[in-house]
Amino acid sequence: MDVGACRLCLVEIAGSNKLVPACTTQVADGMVVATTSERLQRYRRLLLELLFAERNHVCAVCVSNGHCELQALATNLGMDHVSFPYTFPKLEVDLTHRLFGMDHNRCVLCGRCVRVCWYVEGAATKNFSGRGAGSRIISDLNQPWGESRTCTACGKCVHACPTGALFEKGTTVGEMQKDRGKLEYIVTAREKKQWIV
Amino acid sequence: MFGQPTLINNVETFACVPAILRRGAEWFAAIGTERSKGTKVFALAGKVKHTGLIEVPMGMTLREIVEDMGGGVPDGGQIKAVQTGGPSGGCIPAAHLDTPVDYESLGRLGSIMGSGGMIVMDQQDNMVDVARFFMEFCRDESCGKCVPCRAGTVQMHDLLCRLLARQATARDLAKLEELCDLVRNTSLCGLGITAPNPVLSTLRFFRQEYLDLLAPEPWKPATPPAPSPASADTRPQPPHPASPWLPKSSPSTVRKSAPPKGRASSRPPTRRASASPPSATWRA
Repeated sequence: MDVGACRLCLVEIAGSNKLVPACTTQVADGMVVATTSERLQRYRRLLLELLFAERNHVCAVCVSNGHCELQALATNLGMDHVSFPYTFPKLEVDLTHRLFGMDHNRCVLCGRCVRVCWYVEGAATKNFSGRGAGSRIISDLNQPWGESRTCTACGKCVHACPTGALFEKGTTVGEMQKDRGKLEYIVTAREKKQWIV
Repeated sequence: MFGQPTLINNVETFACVPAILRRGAEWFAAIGTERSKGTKVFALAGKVKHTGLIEVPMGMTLREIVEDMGGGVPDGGQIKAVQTGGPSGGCIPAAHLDTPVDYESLGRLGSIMGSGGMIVMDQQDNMVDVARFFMEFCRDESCGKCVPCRAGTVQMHDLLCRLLARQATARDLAKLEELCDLVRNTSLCGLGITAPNPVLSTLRFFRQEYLDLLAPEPWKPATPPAPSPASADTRPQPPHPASPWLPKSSPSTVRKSAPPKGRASSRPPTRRASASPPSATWRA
């Protein structure tokens, strides 16, 4: 399920000039891996700054404030400001679904919702549209989420989402706590027949 | 593909195959240089008399291609640089025109054979604008999967636009170079890895053109040894020229009511410009 797209887990491997994403690289015998060199941490901070400048991430009014993976990464890496000009794109909030909302302003395009929708739930509702900076997460053929005929309203995408982009309706600032453990429970139960609570 | 060894060829490779089959591999390998064999098709364009598709043996010098086959710059202009390799290639300055065109020589000059594009530029072309043009292409072609390419090319393009608008400072230029390093080393695929090439190669050979476009930094005097207080160039700029906190209309009004001469480097006007708009934004 890992795609190596966010580039935040890049590591250095001794003997190779190329940085590789830890999530999609198989460990090999005798491999010497550096995970937190000065250079890697600098790259990570810059990548995070790019993510923050790309969309409208305003923690103070976000449902995931305090429970956000993006926010946690920024805190852990000591990213105290964004050195790039914010692009302030004008983006929509889709509140047409009866249970969930999608705020494109907070989306980091990690694609977790798409993958969980296709490969865990099997509904294939979520997908990408556009390309480059114009990429968006869409439902079905870019319909409002509420009009989707394929969505089973299972909520897996909401709990896979690392930020407040996908949220349960009725939550306010800081109330949206994601539970990825449930998704891992389903996957290990299915694939390994292990029911780990 | 499908668990089988797969050879992916492009049209140019396929076009070479019949000739090799007919005349033998030795004949084909005899053309070209030690490491780069055979011929190469280029799309010659830009400031040359004869543009179009040309097929040349590897190892021919750039000068032969551009001046003999291309007929040189029309109207007696001077060649300034030759851009090879398509959008993610590099610019080779006129001083290196005698370089043989093969994979290794182009690589040493920070360029690539790439898609076989060859664009000739004369003295009227601004290399920063050339870099901006190619960066725009890379930005538009980014698929958006990985962060450095998707968001980094946007920021690089914006920085180049600000340079061309004479709104970028030395700090922005340093940021641009930092971004080039980031995007080149962290991108997922070849598009992102080579996207900074147009900037890196023009910076390498035409750095002065970038420096000429820099705006003076408001917190520094225009000429470090002897600060001239009333020079028009020291007019303070907002701390961050394209600061998003500044509403679109505000900077012009602030700038028009520029501080009186003699107070050019004083801080209050700049401070006011950056301090008041946020509250206006919140109210709106």
